[in-house]
Amino acid sequence: MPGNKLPDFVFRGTTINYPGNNNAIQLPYTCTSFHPVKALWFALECLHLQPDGAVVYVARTRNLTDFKLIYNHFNRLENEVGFAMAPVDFYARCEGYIHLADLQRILATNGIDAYNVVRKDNLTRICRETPDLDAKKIVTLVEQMLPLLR
Amino acid sequence: MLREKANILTIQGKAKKSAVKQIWPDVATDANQGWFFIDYAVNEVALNAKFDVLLEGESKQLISGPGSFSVKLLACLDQFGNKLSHIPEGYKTLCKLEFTPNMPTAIKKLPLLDQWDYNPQAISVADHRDIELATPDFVITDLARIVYVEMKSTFDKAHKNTFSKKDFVTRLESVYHTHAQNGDRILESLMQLGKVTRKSGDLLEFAESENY
Repeated sequence: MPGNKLPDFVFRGTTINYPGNNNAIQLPYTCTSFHPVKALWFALECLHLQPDGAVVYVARTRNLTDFKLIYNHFNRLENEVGFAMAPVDFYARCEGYIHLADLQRILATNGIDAYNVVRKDNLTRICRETPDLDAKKIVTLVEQMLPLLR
Repeated sequence: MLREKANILTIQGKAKKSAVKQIWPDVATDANQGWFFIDYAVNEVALNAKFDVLLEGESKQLISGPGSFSVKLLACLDQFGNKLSHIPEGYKTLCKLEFTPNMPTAIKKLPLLDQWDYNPQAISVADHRDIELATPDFVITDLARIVYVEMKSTFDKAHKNTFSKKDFVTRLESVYHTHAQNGDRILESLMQLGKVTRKSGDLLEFAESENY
């Protein structure tokens, strides 16, 4: 994370209202990424579970400040940020979620490769190959996502 | 190729002791044990699960068959240092593995890492009973790209705008002689690539825009 300062937005690729597995619910924790394209890859990996329900949640970090950050010592590939909250509580604090096709279209119109065949066994490689995005670009992308959030 | 619900661990590399110490105090291991960075779990794996074959790289080429060694999953941690009772599906983990009688050379040669990282020569451990001859994933992806052009053209000529999953898979089976399971995977790949979208209910359609 640049300068250890939280970015303005975090993203979580999952399926609509997915409560997380037992560990995420009981401990609790929610994994997010400050990289929207990497969040998209996670959502694409969920597509086979719910073809209509795979989405990316978008949250403003200023709405999550009352939840403790869980420091992940190994966050290089996914640009991961963990919060000590159950996923359902995270969704309630989100601006909303965007469907994959809408997000892919926004990214593509911004010149970002958004179409990939993602599986658990190639997710690491795909995350590694995904270029970094600067904070300004992410804000621009979120501005385009906001009207499409549900 | 592995069966759909196969037990498999993909080892990206050996974990530096200093890395393990950041999230877990007990880093001690015997000579035939070690801590390893394990890639996303394709399926859930129980503690004490045993493995007896080695596979190399993304293509999962068999490099060591059963009989010469066994591997046991002794402990697993998530990225925050939580000790897990099993490896949940979709988790990346830091795992303690034990090799009997000794650690195979291919494992010893893995890179020493301070966190998870992509390793094109990652070594996967699996149970030989889960290995079967089947179509590798990269072939499925290539086939999806080929099939898209042909299928879209055929459907366009027939003025067929929408189709069901069954229509799609049946045509794949009859024209390309694919297994039904591979037909599902090809369709899923096309949906991820934005080439096929859901129109309504169970009806699908080919997307108009060219995404690759």
